[in-house]
Amino acid sequence: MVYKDFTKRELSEILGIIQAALACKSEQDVITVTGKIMNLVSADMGVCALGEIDSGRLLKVANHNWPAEWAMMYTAEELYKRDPVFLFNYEHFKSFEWKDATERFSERPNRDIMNRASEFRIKYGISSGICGGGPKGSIFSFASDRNRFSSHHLKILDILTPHIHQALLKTLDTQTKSDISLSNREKEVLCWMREGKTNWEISMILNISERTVKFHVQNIERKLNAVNKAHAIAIAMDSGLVV
Amino acid sequence: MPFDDLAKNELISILELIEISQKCKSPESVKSLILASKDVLEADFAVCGFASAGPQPMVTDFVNGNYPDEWVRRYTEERLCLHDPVVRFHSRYMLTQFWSDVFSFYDYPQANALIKDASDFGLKFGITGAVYAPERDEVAIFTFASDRNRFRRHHKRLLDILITHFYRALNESFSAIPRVEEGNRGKEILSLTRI
Repeated sequence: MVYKDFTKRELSEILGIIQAALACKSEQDVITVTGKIMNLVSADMGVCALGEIDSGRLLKVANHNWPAEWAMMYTAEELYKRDPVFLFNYEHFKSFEWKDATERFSERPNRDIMNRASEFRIKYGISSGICGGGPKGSIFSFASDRNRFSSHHLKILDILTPHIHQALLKTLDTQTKSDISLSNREKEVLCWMREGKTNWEISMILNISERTVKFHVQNIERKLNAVNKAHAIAIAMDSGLVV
Repeated sequence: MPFDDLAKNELISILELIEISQKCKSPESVKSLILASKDVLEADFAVCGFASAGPQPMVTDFVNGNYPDEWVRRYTEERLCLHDPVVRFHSRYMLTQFWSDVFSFYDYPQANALIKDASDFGLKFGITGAVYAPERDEVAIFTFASDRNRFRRHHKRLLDILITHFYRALNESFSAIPRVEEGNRGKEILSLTRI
């Protein structure tokens, strides 16, 4: 890596982020670090995620300020299966500008996702990721509604990606039962899941859309590191989250 | 900014060393890392390793950067670590410290003899950092030495920044080497024979 191309201020900030990543103990710590990277690469939004490479299933998401509504739709509709950025990342595992991903995956379904994202000001961006040598891979995305990104920002991501990947892995490994924090709504959904209710039935009981229930279920599965609903209920009962 | 006190070339050196440390997968690569670190720390000699924690520390694994071979041989054969003020201090205190500040805590004949013998090999002044290695329940120790007193607070600061990265590199390098699981009897025998 050629560091002399960076200003002293950038080098100082890069080192600060590396040290902060080293000290990360929780998801919140990773979110804070993500925010620092976001500022350094001149982005408006930032998110980090760790997932299974084969299935694409997200195991951990550290969302700094990615639009919540978009994140909800993205997970509930499993948009990562057609998202050019996500697919390109898992194909290459290197820093890239989104335009490279949209060129590589230019079919209609892929383009549709980019168009839908742009409604949330997610128009331009850079991403990077690491395949940890095992079943887990990471993706770090930084976006804006303006095209501010250059190869300089990609170099910054190249430097920081291994560190933020390690930080994310550590928070996944150190997640203990006491760390599992479900929102009140997620707990409500979980309780009805335990009663054997379907997503549709839960949506009727809680007076919310079935899609929103699906989103909550996926979040619960991700937070509990469960492979399906039954597994999530078992973990939740074992953890005392539902009795 | 928390690193404003560092010069641009120092920041570059630190980031380069961190990058090297991430690629370390063997003791040989750790050797290259600590030798590359000598320049930024203005040291002439470098060594690192793991030691058991407690009042009678034993060096369990080490990587010799460029400590004089004869001194290393004597040190291991005569189990000098038992009277080495630096190892004894850092097996209890996981921090970065100048040797000159450590020596005063161990003012007894064997320790004084070791300090004198080491200085005959050019190991007169030094700076050492230590961190706890939970994977091994030991201490990881990184030492940089010189025959001249060049070490200042600034070097301490640099080593403080680097040490966790160095520790991860050292741990990664030795975790790739299978360790023999010792039974109680084995531990007894090893405690008697380990050099």
